[in-house]
Parts: sequence; C-alpha cells; structure tokens
Amino acid sequence: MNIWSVTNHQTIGATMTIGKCWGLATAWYHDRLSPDFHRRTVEQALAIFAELSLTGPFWSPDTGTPTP
Amino acid sequence: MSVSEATLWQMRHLIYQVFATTGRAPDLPRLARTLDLAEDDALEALRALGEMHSVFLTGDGRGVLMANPFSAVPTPFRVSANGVDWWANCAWDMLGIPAALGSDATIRATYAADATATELRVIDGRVEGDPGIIHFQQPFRHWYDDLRHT
Repeated sequence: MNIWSVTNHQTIGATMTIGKCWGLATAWYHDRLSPDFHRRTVEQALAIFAELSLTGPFWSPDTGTPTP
Repeated sequence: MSVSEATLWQMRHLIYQVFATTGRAPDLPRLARTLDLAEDDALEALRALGEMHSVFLTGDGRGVLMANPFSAVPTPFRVSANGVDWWANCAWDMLGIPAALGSDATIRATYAADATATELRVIDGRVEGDPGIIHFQQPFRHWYDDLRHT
C-alpha cells in the first residue's frame, strides 16, 4: 500500500482484509434487491460499521451526510 | 413533479432487477415501457432517483451509470454467477454483487497496486481464493460528494 500510495500520489484511507470486506458487503448489500429497500440512514450505516468494529474518524459521518 | 413517489421506487426496483438478471442497466425506453410512463415522465423519475443518489446517471442524465453495487460500464472488477456477468464499481462492490444476489459467484479483479489479476470465489456464503487487502480511499463522510471517484 505504501508503494502504491507514493507511486500514485494517493493518500491511504482505510484497509481491510477481503474476509472483513465480505462481512461489510453482506451487511450492506444483502437487501439491495428488495422492492422495499430505501435509503439507508446514517444511523443504520453506523450500526453496520460498529457491528464490524469499523470505528474511528474514517467511518464517522458529517452531520447531514446523505446515505442511500 | 408529475411522477409519484411510489413510481420512483418502482423504477428503482426495476433498475436493480434488470441489472441483477441481465448484467446490464435498462435504458430509458425500457423503463418507460415497463412502467407504462411517457418517456418524459420516465426521465423525470430517473433524474429524481439520481438526485436522491439511489442510482447514478450518465453524463447526459438519460441513463444509469451505476446502481451500487452494479456498474453499467466496464471496470476492473468482474463478477460471474448463474450464467450472467456483471461489472462492479469497486472492490467492495465486487463482493457486494454476490451479497446482493445471495448467490455463489466467481470474481475476477485486477490489483490496483501492481495490475496483477486475482480470482475469488463465493461459495456457500464464504469467500475463498487469493487473500488480499481492500482499500477504501474516501472516508465515509465523503462517499456521496462524488461517488464516481469513491
């Protein structure tokens, strides 16, 4: 990641294993095809992050940030 | 707006169903025809969904570019399942497609760091294959500033 960051002039955000990302993807997308799916609230998003121990500034919202 | 909120959600659901079953986004005429709308009304509804970030539109505002986790255009993240192929918008979305489908899948992607190819498989709710790291560049608070870059 550090080599990629320097080579591409990009800052590093958050990283996680594919296994953990699968947990996030499952929690986030499992109901995406439902006709009842509407915009996920900030609170729902934060609950998903907390369940996966995704904490810290990277996973925190600004006030009023919309989520789908 | 002349289109009801119920119609907006019907359109959203239709977009996702077409993506899920074909790997492609429905075009505006198909949306209008299926929902029995005049094309102008279908366009109004599509743009309303775009403004809500329920889907993301093409540059001319007349088509679907992304309905997360699905991409309407080629990307380095390819997902295959049940005889259908999809492009995902990013590494998270390449896992999001089988999660949304509730299906086993094969994922072929390219590592950004060195452009090498990797393959993963989702089998019975587990991910198997080449271990790697997924990088989220944009923090959560910026995810909808410009989702095309995120």
